[in-house]
Amino acid sequence: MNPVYRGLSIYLFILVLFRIMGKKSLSDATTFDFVLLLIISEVTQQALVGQDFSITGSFILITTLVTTDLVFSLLKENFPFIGKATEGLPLVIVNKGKPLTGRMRKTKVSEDDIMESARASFGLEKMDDIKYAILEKSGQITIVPFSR
Amino acid sequence: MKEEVERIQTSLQIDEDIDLHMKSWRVQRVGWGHMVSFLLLAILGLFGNGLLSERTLGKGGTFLTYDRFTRFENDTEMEIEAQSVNGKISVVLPPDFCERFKVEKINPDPSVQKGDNGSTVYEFQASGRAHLTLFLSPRSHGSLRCRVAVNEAEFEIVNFIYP
Repeated sequence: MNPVYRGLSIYLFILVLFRIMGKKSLSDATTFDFVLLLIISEVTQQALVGQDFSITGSFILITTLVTTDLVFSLLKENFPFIGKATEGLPLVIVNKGKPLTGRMRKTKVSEDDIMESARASFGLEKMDDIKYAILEKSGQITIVPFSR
Repeated sequence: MKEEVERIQTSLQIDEDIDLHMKSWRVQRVGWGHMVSFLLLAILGLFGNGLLSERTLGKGGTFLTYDRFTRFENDTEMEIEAQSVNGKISVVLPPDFCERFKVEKINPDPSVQKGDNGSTVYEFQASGRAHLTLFLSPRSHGSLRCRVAVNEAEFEIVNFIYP
């Protein structure tokens, strides 16, 4: 198959698959998740390259991936909905010291994850000290403390 | 237990859009279902190597087993069990078949290998019943429908090669 189609189909497949898998906070990523990521990249690489070990083939593939990424970022800029659909949006998970358990359950974030971020960024001790906690698009949990 | 998703007002300058979040969680649920069914179908062999894929055809004591679904550049086997006629067995692969599959190896080796009107003919020396294995590598994707002849018996091969 033409390397351009190969690159495109794999790009789109991975985009959809990772979106379906759902947002997982970065603080949740275990060593095993990193190993899994390595395995996925290994499998992807074989399907991408196939039997084609030529330099030209790699040029075509790299250009395909980078161009697709560029096209997507341009689309996101012009049609914000595409960005929202492919990358998601930030989500408030603690409101004025109160964890929003319904939202947390949906995004598989635990109170421990939130407290870990709160300790790391502001040295906060209790949930009551957090004004807002937000699960960002990137998967990071950001904290807004009550102003003391 | 079904838990309501909280609707809140905050002083944060943030584009949250909880409705879109809820929609995407629903889509995710459907997506998980699709992932599981994709895996189940893969286990059953819709994409090769499984129950849905393996097919055995028989005609007058001659049997031919092959994979109905194969994947591009992923090796597959075709097994033939036949009775020898006058000390030999002949297998005729039509041009369509040879375009789709590359014959990597045949066990046992054929004694004669020749072209005939675009078809490839293999002849094997054998006494009594013999078991032949053709090791094949798909070299293009798409569907294939053709007739493979073993001695006098013709078998219709229906095959799909995934990209």
